Amino acid sequence: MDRHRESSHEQRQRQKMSRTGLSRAGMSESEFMARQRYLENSSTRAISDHSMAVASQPVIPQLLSSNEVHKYVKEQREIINNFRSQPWPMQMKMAALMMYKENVAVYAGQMNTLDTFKDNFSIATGAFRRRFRNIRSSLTIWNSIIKRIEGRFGSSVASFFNFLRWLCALNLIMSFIILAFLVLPQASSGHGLQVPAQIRENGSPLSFIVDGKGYLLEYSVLFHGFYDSGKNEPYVAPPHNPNPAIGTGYKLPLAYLGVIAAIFVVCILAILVRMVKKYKILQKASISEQYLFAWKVFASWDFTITSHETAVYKRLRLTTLLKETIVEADSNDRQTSWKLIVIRLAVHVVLFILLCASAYAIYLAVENIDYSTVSVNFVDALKLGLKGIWLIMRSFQVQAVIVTCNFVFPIMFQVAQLIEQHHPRTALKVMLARLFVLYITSLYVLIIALFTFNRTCENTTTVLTNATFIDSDENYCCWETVMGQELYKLSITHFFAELFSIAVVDIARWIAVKTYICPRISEKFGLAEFNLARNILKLVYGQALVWFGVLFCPLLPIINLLKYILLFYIRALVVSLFNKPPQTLFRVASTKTFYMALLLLNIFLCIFPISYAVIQEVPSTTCGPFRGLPSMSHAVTYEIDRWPVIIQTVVNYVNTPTIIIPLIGLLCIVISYFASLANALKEVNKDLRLQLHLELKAARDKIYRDAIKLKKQDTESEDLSSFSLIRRHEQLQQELNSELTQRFSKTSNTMFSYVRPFEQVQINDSFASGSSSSDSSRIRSDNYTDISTLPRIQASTDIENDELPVTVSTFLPPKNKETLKHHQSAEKERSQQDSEGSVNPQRRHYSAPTPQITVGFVNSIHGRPRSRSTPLWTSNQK
Amino acid sequence: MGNRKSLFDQDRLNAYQECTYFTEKQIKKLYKRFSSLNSKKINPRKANVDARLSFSEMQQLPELKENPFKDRICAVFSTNGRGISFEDFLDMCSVFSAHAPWELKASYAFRIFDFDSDAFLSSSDIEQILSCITSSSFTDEDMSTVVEYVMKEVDIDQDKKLSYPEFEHVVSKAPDFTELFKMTIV
Repeated sequence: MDRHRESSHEQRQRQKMSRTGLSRAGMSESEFMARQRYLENSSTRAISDHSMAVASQPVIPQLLSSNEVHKYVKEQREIINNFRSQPWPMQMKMAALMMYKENVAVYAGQMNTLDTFKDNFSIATGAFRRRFRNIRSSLTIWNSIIKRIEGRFGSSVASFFNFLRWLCALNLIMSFIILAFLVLPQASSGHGLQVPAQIRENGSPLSFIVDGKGYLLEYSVLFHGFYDSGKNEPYVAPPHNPNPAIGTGYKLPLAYLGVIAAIFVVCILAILVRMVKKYKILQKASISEQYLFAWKVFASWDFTITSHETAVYKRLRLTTLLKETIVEADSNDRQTSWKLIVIRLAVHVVLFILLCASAYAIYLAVENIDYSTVSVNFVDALKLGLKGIWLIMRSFQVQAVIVTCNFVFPIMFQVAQLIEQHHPRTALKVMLARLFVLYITSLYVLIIALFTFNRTCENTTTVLTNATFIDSDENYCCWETVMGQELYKLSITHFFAELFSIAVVDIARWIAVKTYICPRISEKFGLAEFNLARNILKLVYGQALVWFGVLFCPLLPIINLLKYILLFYIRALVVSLFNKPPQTLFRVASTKTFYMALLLLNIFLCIFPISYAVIQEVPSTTCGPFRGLPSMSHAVTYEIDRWPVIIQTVVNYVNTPTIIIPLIGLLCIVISYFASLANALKEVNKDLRLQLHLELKAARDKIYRDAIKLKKQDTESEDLSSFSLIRRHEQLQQELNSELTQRFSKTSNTMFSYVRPFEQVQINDSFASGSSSSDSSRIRSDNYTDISTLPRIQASTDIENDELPVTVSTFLPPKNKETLKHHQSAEKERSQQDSEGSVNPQRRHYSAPTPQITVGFVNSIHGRPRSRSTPLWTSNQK
Repeated sequence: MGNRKSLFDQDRLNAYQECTYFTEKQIKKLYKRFSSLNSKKINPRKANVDARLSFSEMQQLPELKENPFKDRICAVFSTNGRGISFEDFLDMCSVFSAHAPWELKASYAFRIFDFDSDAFLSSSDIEQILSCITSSSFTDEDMSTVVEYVMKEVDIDQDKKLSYPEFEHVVSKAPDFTELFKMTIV
């Protein structure tokens, strides 16, 4: 009762204060003091929560509608979630956190059932997210290895290992999908392609293991041909059989297509999500390079470095870089000579011709594939002597050609770089583009050639070797399995080529340098660098092989996973033992998005041949889950034919141009809409940035004056508590905002004198020429009259003031950027003022930017009350 | 309880999680790292948030050892100006973690670069930064040239010193800032 009366009194008082605009704090003076007293005396946190709720509960209901309470609580929760991004010391964050939580608890009690439910739901999801984060971070492996490499080689090399780890995770997910929905049902069904008797008798169970032949491998879940739903006779097309069943029970053909589709969808989504995440970081960076020096000074030291050697190296590198930049800036335009242009052109042409030649070589190699289903046993081949070795080499001809190209061409590119003499940045881009073209060309030529020549497989009876082996006169030919084998072999060979290149490039060079075989050369070149561009592209290429091959060799993701895991350890070891830190300074952030873009491009390029194989090619008649169907996609068509008529009609209708053409049209419209929206947003963004800038400038002197005023007030009152300080800040901000709005509406000339110099930095080169610039800025400002048309940002506190009673906007911390900045600049002005000692030097701790919190208050979290109040944080420690 | 008596009480741990970018496990790991720097002062079994390490002890941390700004980092994150408590350390790790937004990083970067703590980056501050990140072959003349260029690029209001908004503007456009201004401690 008593409390109730008191509270209604407070309420009146508060309303009065809000009318006069005096109070912006959440509670009236007396309420606040009571709370503070209470907190200082309370012994446990639980009780304090409870009785705080009791103490302040009756105050609210008349002031806020239920809708507003919910909105308010939501806002407060958001603020609570953002405490971790406040530049405050921990104790302050924790104290503020507790304060806000209490406050929210009070308001949350006022909500109706639905809102309470919503609120609880959001809390629960938050808790779940935290738990998920905990689990995920404990599942992340290789952190320590990556960290060690990061410390020694900087973040650019570490980004390679991060990318590799991410690819491993992607392959793991793909493997899981395949194992669960394809391999397991197939293996447990007991069906599958039987090994022909002749081969079983005469052939070897395992061939030279990497070529995927030998009946143990060829007739296993490894390859497409083995999969079978247990229906041995071919399917009959609908006219003859009105109800063709695609297997019974678990429909393997459908599962097969479904798994492939799922893999692609999952991969594309994963890439997009990661890309967007990385892109968000990048987005803030503008495209134009306007801060050549400032970036190098402020944002070039790699804080991840922990090794002394790398730190020294980095310093040297930055020194040369800065010197180079000075030279470049002094002599602004460096003309490229005609001779160099001609040379560069010639290099391009030569490399293009060589690339075409390599493509033709791959094509030839595929054309001459020996399609014998017979395998060359490694031991038997050795018995055959030279001929046997030739046979082995023949079975690897395609892979050998591709791998050789992929090994030789990058070296040629590097030589070309020496001749071309590009700027290092351009050189890196050219290198990346060339490597990408090389890898993509080789992959695409292989795919096209395989499709072209596999048709002949249908007609040829098995080509036989003259060797002593069997002749399988059976008309067994399975082009899917042959495809699978080729890609499987390529994937494996790719790995061994990688090991070979490590041995030759990294280890051999290390030995050469360390043993001083040729001292002059070893001094000049030193250890091998970690070639980031090439290694990344190799990973992307390996992954492209998987995406292309997964239709024909479903276990490829698992193989790739093992390959990449091995590669991770080997690379990590090789890097830390045999390499030196890279000399090129990479833009890590932009390269990260770049990797993802490469992957995305690759996966789209892989979709075309895959969908061609699924829709156009005729499956083999003797093997695979799709035997007897006109095409793989017919598995779906026939399945739909068995569905109810209504669905069939709908599906058939959707398939026709009547739907598809308008749909494409609609998509175009949507795309163009979003494109124009993005453009408009970009414009708005630009304007907002400009306005933000204006506000900052205008705020400065205002804040300075207010800061002095505030100090004077503070010395008068002895209230050192956190609440009053927070409140004063709020007050200050509000005044500032109203001041700003007024000023904007006036569009005074003085404002523009702030704007112009900023514009000049970007546009006008004459800015550099010293003293005249301030005059010219004033003159120019007259032309600049658009300011009133700029969209107005109102600080959010103002908006709330219009809509809601004052209580709602109570002690909001600086939650948006502008207000945060106001805080910070206020802080600086004041601390500067303080350090100069012009105002009240004996009260130094008042220079703290952000609310100070008494120790008593903080300690009450941990149940140890103390009444003495001391400053915890001052921004400028002397 | 008893055997499972933990390093921190749960409330505190939750508060830490809400105030930093770390998970429970990482916070415990961080405490272990912290106490390993001087296990006499910092009890590795029972958390004592008031105990402080001196700056020189703090700088034994491998992640700080090679950092040219290590003195500044310690000075900025220390709440009493003399030593680093666990909470200061946690703050530091949180700011340098990969998840921290660039705004937070930028505001601390400014304080770190502000050698004389006058809330502005003056020419002398920039010179000190340069001497930190370059080797001895970088001459005084080069240095003053670079400072001049930096001022020309960044100093919008031409008061011969960089205020925080000016600094933030530059850093917000630097594509690599968040990638480089980080330390992986756990």
